Amino acid sequence: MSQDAHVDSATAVLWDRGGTKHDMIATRTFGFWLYLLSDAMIVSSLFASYLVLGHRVNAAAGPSAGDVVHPIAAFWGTVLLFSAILAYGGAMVGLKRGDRRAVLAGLGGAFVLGAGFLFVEGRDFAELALHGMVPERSGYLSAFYTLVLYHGAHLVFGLLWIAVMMAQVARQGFTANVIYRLLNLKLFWFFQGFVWIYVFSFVYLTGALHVH
Amino acid sequence: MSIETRDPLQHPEVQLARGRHYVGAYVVSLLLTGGPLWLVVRHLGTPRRLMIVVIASAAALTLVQGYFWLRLDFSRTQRWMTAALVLFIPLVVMTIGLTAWMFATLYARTMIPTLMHAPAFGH
Amino acid sequence: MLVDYPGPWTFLLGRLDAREIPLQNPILLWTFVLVSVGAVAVIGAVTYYGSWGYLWREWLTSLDHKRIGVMYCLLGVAMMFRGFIDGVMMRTQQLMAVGPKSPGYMGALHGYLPPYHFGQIYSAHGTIMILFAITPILVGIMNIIVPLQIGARDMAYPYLNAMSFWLTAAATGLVMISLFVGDFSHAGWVGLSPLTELAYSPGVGVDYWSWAVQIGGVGTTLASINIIATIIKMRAPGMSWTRMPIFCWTALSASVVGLSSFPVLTAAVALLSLDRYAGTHFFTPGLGGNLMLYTDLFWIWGHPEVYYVVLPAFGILSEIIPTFSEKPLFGYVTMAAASIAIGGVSWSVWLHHFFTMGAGPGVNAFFSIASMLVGIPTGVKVFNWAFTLYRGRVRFDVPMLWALGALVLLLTGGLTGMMLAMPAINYTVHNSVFVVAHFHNMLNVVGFACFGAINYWFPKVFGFRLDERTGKLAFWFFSAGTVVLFGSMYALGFMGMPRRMDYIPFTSWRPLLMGEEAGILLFLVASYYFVKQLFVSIRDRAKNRVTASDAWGTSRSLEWLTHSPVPFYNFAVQPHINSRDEWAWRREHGLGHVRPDRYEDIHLPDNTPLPVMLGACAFALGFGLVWRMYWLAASGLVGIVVLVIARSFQDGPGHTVPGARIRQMEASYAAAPGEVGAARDPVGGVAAWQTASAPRPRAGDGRPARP
Repeated sequence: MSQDAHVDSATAVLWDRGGTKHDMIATRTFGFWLYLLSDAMIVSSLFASYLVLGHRVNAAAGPSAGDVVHPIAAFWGTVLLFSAILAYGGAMVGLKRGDRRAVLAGLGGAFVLGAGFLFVEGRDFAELALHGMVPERSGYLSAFYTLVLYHGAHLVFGLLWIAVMMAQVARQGFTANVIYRLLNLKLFWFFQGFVWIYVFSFVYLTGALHVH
Repeated sequence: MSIETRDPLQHPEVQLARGRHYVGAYVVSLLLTGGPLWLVVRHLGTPRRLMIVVIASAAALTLVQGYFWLRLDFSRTQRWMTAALVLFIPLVVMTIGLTAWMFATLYARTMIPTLMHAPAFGH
Repeated sequence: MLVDYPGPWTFLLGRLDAREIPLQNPILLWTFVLVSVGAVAVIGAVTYYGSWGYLWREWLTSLDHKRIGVMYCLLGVAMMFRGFIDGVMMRTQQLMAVGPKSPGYMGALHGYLPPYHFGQIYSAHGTIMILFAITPILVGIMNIIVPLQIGARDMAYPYLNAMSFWLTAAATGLVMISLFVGDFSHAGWVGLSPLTELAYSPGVGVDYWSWAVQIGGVGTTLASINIIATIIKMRAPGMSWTRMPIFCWTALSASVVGLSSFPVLTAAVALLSLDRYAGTHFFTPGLGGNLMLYTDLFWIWGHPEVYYVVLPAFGILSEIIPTFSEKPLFGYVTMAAASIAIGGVSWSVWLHHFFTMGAGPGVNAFFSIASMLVGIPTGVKVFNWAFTLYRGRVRFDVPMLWALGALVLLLTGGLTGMMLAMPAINYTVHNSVFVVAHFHNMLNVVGFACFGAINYWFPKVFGFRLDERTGKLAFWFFSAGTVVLFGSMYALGFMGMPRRMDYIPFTSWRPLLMGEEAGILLFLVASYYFVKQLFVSIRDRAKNRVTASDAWGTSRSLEWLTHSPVPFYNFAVQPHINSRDEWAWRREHGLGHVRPDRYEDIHLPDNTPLPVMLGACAFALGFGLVWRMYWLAASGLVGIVVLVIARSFQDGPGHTVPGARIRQMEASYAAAPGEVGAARDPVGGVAAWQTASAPRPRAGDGRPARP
């Protein structure tokens, strides 16, 4: 091919001399980001199901979106979740300085606020269940719970991960491995905010649109 | 493509944290969720207009959080992540959009006509 | 429990009891006896030769991408045999059960398989062939070849790679154990909804299918992440995007498709599992479920999956055809663009699997046009291959035969695909065996490419070529079988024969059914020769030993630059890439013999048993869920979480091979002709000389380079 003509075979470099080392941290975070995108496809499938099962027929003469969603409670959850993300952001700013105490404080804050979000969500669901609005009631409720709880399950997993990272930061300090995990966890934790934007907008706000 | 960092704390992905951006995005996020909430709860507008507001604020939030929180830009450090996300957006849109379109036409042909125009999101 | 199902339940064994082991079925009983004898023989042989330690240290715990790739391929080939036997059983049943007067045996009204058993066989056949045979073989080939072609030491994430493999193996284990404990799904490989719902399939068959699909799906998603990251982040210096071999382009495109579509499958099947375990109503016919939603979600994965398997196959053809035409590939840029385009368009065609469902004409027209668009990039590829052959010095070695066979099949498969893309035709042939013939035709393209790849890259991995004569016999019998079997099936499809029939009411179809049976018998002969080919080649490996790094003399891409078999470190020093076909460029410029003048230390990860243990936990999780032994499922899940956390605290430091040792190994490799190291290995290859010297690398070979 024509491009090969530019390389002179007499002087060409045949073997790498620079001792090229690939960037471990960037490779790990990129792979984790790909995982998050594949997870986003699961969320998309759940959103597609939620949309399809949002038809009147799928409510099976039971409660529909307007009866199920409590946008104000969800907003308090939103405040807690975004605050948890901000707290993690604080940990990242601390990490930039190499400040172990700030990182631990940020992680701790994210843990508490994330748990708070789950508490608000759990209370909301407990109230729904009290009124017989359980996933087994109808196709619509199945889709609603599955979508919202899929996000919630991620937060539970995130809390576990935060706890593990707090232990690692405290024990091992800032090794390359700990740092790439903190960066991955950042992507994971921030991504839950991303997903929540859509859950809040298209489940809670849209659901409440038609309540009179 | 290869960046050798002796001190992992000096890695560009660590160094891109910006406290001010984080706080700014936080405030905007709360405004862009609280604002539409207020409009919806107070019924300030027709459902169609409110729907547009909700969609627009979700889109704006995506950009705000994507840029200021996840720092998705075209810098050397972040460009593959941004590219991957940009490539995934059409897939997400197709999965949801084409499915919704398909079922909209399908329901019109297979579901009971009297219930056809009454989605669960209402009345 | 959340949902009602018939039969007893105990805490310890869940739904499992002794009656679930199908001893009363003679077919399964004999299979069980056969498998047990085989297992005892294998375990006995391994024990006799004292190879447990070797197997554990060098293979099961290995993080080496080549060994993991070989294990993937072995798994896939073994499962392909299993799926093939299912196919033989189905064809035989259909031939025996023609017309109301056909006799019945072993409890069946007609033929020898009762409908429920027949249903399990065709479900297992489809699931196995697509998810546990072709997919693992292709993932295995990508695993072995992609890092070599881009000049990397290993995959981006060696540990994740082993984990993906062991998750796939765990899922395969679930499918296999369903033969002897309980039963398998009878609802088709697509999981026909709502037949898969608990009310209509109260047994454990559907659960086996769904958990196997979900665990295997996670494994494939992770493998896709690994391949994408490897290609993007690990290319050798100088390997720009336009210098990357086409196989890597197709692997990249396929992995993007896999990464984005497999999660949707996981979601679809997970929602079905929620219906079965938690009593939700996603796909139930009542209480607001929508069974069409399942079909939609399933095919959102299902169609991209077709391209997930066909794209690497196209890549394989693009490697084999130039090598045996002794010419560079025609139209590199269009080839790469076509690979990406196919991956992109694959996402907007899924609805052509259910045109008849009743969506509006606009929807059907959109998906029809999108489906036909796939023909454009595919056509570009076919023409590129044809132009590569044109005025080439074509050699008909075994890999080339398979590649050319695939080309012919692609033509017929592609054209019938165009027919199916038209809703008007689709309505008439929907759910007929015409569709079955079409997709078998296409999957045979992939199968041919896989056989071609195995023949083509075998010497790279093991250091000796596969036997030529038996290989050619296998090819010709396989091709004849394909024509006879699927030719008859196309004809039956035009006559309106529906798919999945355990009883054929029309005796006039008998001649064509006999044709199908004849075809599958030819396949049987072909698989005999394939096994014989492996056997003969391993027996006579000294004769077929490859002494040059380039086994074929006219190969072009980077993997042929390093020794055959490939040492555990792939390249002693990372090559610097100067050209698109780097190896061909070096050979043609007389640089094939030039070795590096200095060696550096190589850092490698340590082997670890954690991925095997993760696979075992995933198996326990799946098995526990199938039988609703919740304690076992919970232990499996907790085991996975604990292992992942434990691993994160370990920070495997890896080990460093000093540059001096690399130099010594390279020198001994050059000095010692023959097969010193390879002979130590029972099968002769894959980095055999980790601890000893090895076959001789005579870089470049006797063949004169063509100007």
